[in-house]
Amino acid sequence: MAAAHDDELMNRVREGDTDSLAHLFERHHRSLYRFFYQLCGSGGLAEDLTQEVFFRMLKFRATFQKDARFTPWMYQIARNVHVDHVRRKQAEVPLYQEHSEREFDPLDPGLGPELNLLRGADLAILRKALQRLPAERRELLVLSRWQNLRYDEIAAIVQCEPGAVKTRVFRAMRQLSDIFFRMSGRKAS
Amino acid sequence: MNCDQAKERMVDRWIAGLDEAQRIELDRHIGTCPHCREEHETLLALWNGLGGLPVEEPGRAMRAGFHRMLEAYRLGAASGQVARPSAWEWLKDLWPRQPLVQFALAAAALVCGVLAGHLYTARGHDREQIAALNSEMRQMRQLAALSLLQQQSASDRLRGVSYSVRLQPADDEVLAALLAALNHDPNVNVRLAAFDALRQSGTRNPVRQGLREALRRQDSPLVQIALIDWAVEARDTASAAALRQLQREPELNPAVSSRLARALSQLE
Repeated sequence: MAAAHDDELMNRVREGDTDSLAHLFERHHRSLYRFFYQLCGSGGLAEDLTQEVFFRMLKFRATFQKDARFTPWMYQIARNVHVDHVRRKQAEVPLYQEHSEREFDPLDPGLGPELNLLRGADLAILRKALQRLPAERRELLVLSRWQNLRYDEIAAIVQCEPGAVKTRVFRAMRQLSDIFFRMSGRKAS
Repeated sequence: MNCDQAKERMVDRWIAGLDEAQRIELDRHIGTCPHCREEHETLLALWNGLGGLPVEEPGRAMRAGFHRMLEAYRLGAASGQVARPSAWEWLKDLWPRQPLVQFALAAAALVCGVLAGHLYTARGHDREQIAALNSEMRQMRQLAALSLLQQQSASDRLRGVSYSVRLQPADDEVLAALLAALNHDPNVNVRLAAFDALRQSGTRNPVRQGLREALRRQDSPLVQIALIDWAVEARDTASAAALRQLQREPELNPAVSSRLARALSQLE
């Protein structure tokens, strides 16, 4: 059982073997937790949303097609869970959007964008900058940076062509860079 | 290689890695194109920085929660099927996990048993006994609420606030715990829940005073707005000083600032 492929385990869940979901939980709960943690920045919330994903896997197990791949299917559920969460909290969102982007002390303007530029306080700013990215772009960066997914898997999750993933990731990084340097009070070069 | 192709190769380098030939080709381009070189260095630093962002590990409670959910689903609770849990399983699900709450419930059960036995043998004192029973139950619930409010988990503290709402009219000890949660709890959801609970006792002077104090202490725009709205709805003119002080905060959220201006115009 332990060596069974994810797709096979999910097929068993679909057939009614709910024990197989426990194996999937052991394999994937950490990566899902990290996915939500990077999207939301809150450990407690990430745990709740991860639980919700496994609940939906069980509830909607019949929607898993026999030849489908488990990982993109799981992340599609995770995306929906996140979208539902954002909708529920919609009233709070404008407050964060209205925050000033210059709420950090400017760093040393003499520092350049060398490879070792990100240290200490910079990482705190980078996390804030990530939270300020539009949700779709933040989600794409989280999927591509932390989840060890291939282009085709990311493309299946966000429903685009694999080639388009590269362009979107590049644009997301460029926007992240703009936000980061605006918040840190120095220029990129 | 042109600049567009170089950008795709940069993403390849971050996500999938490049083979030797691709790496040489990219390095050759960025060696001759200052714009791409600059962008490559900046974005690579950010990409590496993202990898350095710390991530917490999920707590142990998550696994326990998953297995409870799975068990509940098996028993048909989640799908609405007719399968029903055994009486033992049902009781086990009801049983709280915190030792303090377990103790409070066990003590409450003991008190209930003693009082029920006493009632059975001395029917003449029915009213007094029922009142005593109610009082004991109330004390136990209060103990449970106070102990939950001290828990490390935010969801437990939220349950504590929820318990305290059922204790209306709340006594001074519960109100003090709720005010402490409103002023000091690190979780904004707990603070908002504590505020909602306190609002029900908003006609009492210590609570009004506490809510005015909270206006000076809060840094969350959500809680600030909730308190401002309360001051307007309660027509609490004594809050005006605290509102004016809040208005002088240098980095006040714009939404809070506009709500404050409106509130002050209504109160003054």
